[in-house]
Amino acid sequence: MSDHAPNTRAVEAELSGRTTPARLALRYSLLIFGAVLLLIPFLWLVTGSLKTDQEISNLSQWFPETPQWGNFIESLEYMGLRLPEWAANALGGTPHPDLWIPRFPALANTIVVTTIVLVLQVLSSAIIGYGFARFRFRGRSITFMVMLATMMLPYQVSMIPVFLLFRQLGWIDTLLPLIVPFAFGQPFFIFMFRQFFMQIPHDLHEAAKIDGASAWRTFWQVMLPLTKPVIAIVAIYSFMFTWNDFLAPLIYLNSPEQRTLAVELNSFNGQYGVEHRELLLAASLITMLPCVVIFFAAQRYFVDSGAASGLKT
Amino acid sequence: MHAVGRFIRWVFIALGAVLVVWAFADVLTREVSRFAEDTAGTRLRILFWGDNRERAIIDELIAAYEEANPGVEVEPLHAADFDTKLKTMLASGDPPDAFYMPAERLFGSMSEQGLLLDLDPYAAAEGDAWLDRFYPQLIDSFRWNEETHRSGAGPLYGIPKGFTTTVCYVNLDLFEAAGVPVPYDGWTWDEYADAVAKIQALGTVPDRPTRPVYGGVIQTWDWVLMSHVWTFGGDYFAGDFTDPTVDDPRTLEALQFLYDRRFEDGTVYNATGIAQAEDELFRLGQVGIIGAMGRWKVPTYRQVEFRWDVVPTPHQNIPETVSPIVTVCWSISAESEHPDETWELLTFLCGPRGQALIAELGLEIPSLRAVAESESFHAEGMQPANSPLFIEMLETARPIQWPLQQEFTRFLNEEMQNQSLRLAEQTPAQAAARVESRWANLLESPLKDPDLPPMPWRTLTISLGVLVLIALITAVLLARRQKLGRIDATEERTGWSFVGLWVAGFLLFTLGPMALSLLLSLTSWEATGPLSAARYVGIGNYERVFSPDESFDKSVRVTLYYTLLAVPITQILAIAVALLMNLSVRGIGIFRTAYFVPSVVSGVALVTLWITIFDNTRGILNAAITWTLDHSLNPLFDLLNIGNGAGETLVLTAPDWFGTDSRWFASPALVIMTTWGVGAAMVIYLAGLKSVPRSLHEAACLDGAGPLRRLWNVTLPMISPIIFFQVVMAIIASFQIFTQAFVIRGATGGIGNTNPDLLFYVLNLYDEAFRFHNMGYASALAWVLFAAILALTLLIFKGSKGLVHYEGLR
Repeated sequence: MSDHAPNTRAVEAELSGRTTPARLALRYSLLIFGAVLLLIPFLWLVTGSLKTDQEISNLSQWFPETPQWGNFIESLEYMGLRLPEWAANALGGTPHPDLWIPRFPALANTIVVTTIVLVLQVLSSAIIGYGFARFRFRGRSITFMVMLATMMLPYQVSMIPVFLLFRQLGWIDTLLPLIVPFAFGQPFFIFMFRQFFMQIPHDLHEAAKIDGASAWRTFWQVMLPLTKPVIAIVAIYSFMFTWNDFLAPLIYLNSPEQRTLAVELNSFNGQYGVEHRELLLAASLITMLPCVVIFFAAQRYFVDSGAASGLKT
Repeated sequence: MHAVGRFIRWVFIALGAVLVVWAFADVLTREVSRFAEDTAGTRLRILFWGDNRERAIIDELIAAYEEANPGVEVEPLHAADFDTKLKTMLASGDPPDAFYMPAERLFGSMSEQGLLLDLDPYAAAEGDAWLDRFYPQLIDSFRWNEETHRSGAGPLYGIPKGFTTTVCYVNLDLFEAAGVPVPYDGWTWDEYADAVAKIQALGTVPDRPTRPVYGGVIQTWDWVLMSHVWTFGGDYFAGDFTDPTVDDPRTLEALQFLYDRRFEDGTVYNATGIAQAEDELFRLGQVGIIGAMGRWKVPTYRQVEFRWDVVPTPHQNIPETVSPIVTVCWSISAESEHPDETWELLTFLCGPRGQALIAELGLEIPSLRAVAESESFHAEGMQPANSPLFIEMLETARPIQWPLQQEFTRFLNEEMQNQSLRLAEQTPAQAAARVESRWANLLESPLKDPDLPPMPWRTLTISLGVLVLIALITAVLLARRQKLGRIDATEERTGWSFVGLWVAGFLLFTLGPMALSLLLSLTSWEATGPLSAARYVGIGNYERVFSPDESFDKSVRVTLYYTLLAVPITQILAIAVALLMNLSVRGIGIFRTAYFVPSVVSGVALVTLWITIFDNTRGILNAAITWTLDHSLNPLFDLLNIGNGAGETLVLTAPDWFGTDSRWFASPALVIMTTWGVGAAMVIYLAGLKSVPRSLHEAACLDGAGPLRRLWNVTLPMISPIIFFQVVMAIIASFQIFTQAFVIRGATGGIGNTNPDLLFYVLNLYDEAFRFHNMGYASALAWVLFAAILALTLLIFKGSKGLVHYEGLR
């Protein structure tokens, strides 16, 4: 494409982070202002999880008098955590002498489903998205439109038909309905991958082709590594969707030991509303923690400018 | 520093790996043992709702039952979203053996459709006196008469597990302070009006000057409001359900009484938007009388600091007060393969042991007389002192009866409860007239005709299949006729090999259900029975969509308003935040996480959070808005002498988001909720920004372009495919907005409330499908929305051709 632009010092200074103190102050104040705005509601969640039942009713009280750390263990026990004696002694809570490692079926199910779905969904969506972005074939645009169209029918009316299908397959009360459909790509992610693949200059593809690489090898060895940022994002999204999905597990699973965290979390919502809001908030905080950790870990992949280096032709 | 960071990362990775290994081991061992398990014994499945304490009770009872009955295994299915779960199970022909049934909804239509087992023979086999151990009013509540479509007589379809009548809870301290005698022996509504006026006059809670006092609270859920009408000697229906008497003088008197207390004298508290829960106000000692309410508040109120008790609900025009019977039973599915064992289980669940546990929980009254009247339930010194009142009320109590077409409650909720009694936009008399006319219109609908022909499933499925086949064959034939070069043919094969995965998934999991929902849109189907119960109505559902209908029109307007606001605002903000996050300053990683964190909050926690924020009087949002206005615009108006048109100085106040200002502010409020999760959209834009080649910026910089020009001429064109993607997705999502609205609606007055400004398209669709049992009409609504979104998307694809720049396009 173009030659490397000659880097003058001024351009370097303008484009890199180096800047005047005044502009730096402006940047930080903007960043801090936004962060505070977004985190105030979150702060309420955190302090709420440490309050007593009485304190949480009082909206004008922001901080608990003594933090109720026990809320966390109690809320997890609500959701099915069973601690062996040694762990209960260390953390508080009810000991279960017949166990030697903690039992937490909801967490185990959620981890299993989320892990498998994450891997399958990222791979399949990348493959399909690449197919839509790179190859010209008859029926491509109509297939693409049909794929987008599947997202346009509200799920509320296809819920019962889908249930009938899984019942025909004998998959009810197994983890399969939560996993298998996601091995075939998800329109949202396919579309996203397509957009990013289409942004990769065509020369790169041609270069690989001239080297004699097959389309699949080009995909695995050249294209996929180039889209690390997108993979990271799809991974985060996929993780969050699956981790927090409440409706599918509710409908397809019956047995108590098959429940996922999101379903357990929802059962705090009793017939007469949420009775123990502090426990609900504590449970929610713990449940959302993995999402935050995953984000923190994955962000280096989508902000790593090295990933974009292949584009600098 | 770097080493520490790496160490932390490795600790996290190791921890994650351990968790994943543990989870897979745990699930695999369970699945293997489940597979190996012999399934010789009888397996019963029971479906119920309730909080964790209720779950614990059921688990305990099941354990005891299984011990006493080896060979029977009971699987408890607990569903927070009970109706959805039950309906999918019923519709698939795989109902649980036994399940909870509330008397006032579901029970009637399920009995009528023959989905419940007639329990009379089983009860008779237990002996004559067996049923007499229960309160007869409760047993009668679960006898269904198909002729009159009412309960009271006929076959028995359920065994009550517990009940409550309604009473008024009074704050004895406030009564004493206001000098009002406590009406233990009953009172009239005139005396009530007098009492609330005196209590309201106290101003604030004695010794607590920051807490205002409200005379009374009268809740307006559909059945509570109906029982309020009963206490004035009125009713919604006189004979059968075809001719409502909402405009009957006594009915109107009852509704007008409430209207006057709320809007004339202000002695009965009226929460227009999201406000402190009414019963929480009572708990804080700020309410004189709250009611009519059921038993379920007793456990919570036992923890309050003031003295309280229960008294009968007031009455007028009739000699004695009336209460509704609120009760839930265990029913057995007519399809159950083990009715004998299930009955056995039910007698155990509703037996003395289960009832004693229910009594201990205290949310409802046991249905067994011996347990309900026992010492342990009404222990001496236990609050409320007047506890036997709940059982005394049973004498004159009536079952809650609604027409089988649940739309009646919708009309009442929309017109009476919301537009009249909450927002005072019409008088009760006007609301009554509108309820009557909307009900009359509904009864004329041809879709409700019981003589419609059954749905010709076979014919329609086959013809649909043939059509699809013909289309496919034509496509293949056309493709073969067209000659392609060798390279093109290879490329085509490779292309399909990549995309084929999606096609396979589509054919396997998506096409079938979509086709079925399309066929369902041609039927009248209640979704509580099997598919074979569906009746064929042709394009009747589509005709109804396009004929004048207030709920539909409103839902379209509200959804368009929301989409017009949400799509531009959220996308512009997301781009702005992404640009901010793209700055290279120290600690940006921490900021990115901080901006992202809100978007991971989901489910019940998100709801609990936003209800607190949007609270009118105590929420932080309105507090902040009020403070800002009082320190900016309001003093300015005062200074400049800007009037409000009525001769007074203009004073801006914070909006009542979901109350009086909801027409313009309800959708913006939801946009605020959506924007809080801006982090998720920001991430995608950020990845787009990162992939903009630096060389382009350098070149532009050399050409002397400033930051703004570079943004406009380099950055935005380069990320235009991402913007395009985000906008299309945002539009699809906005048109289908559901969860937030569903939840907020629940928070502004319970399941019965229908705030028309929150009636989004899909919410209306959901109501039709799962509350009013019109699955056919709901499917038609869905396909109309589908067509609209598809048309719009195609338009955007066409219109964006010149605007979106693809670096790799050919």
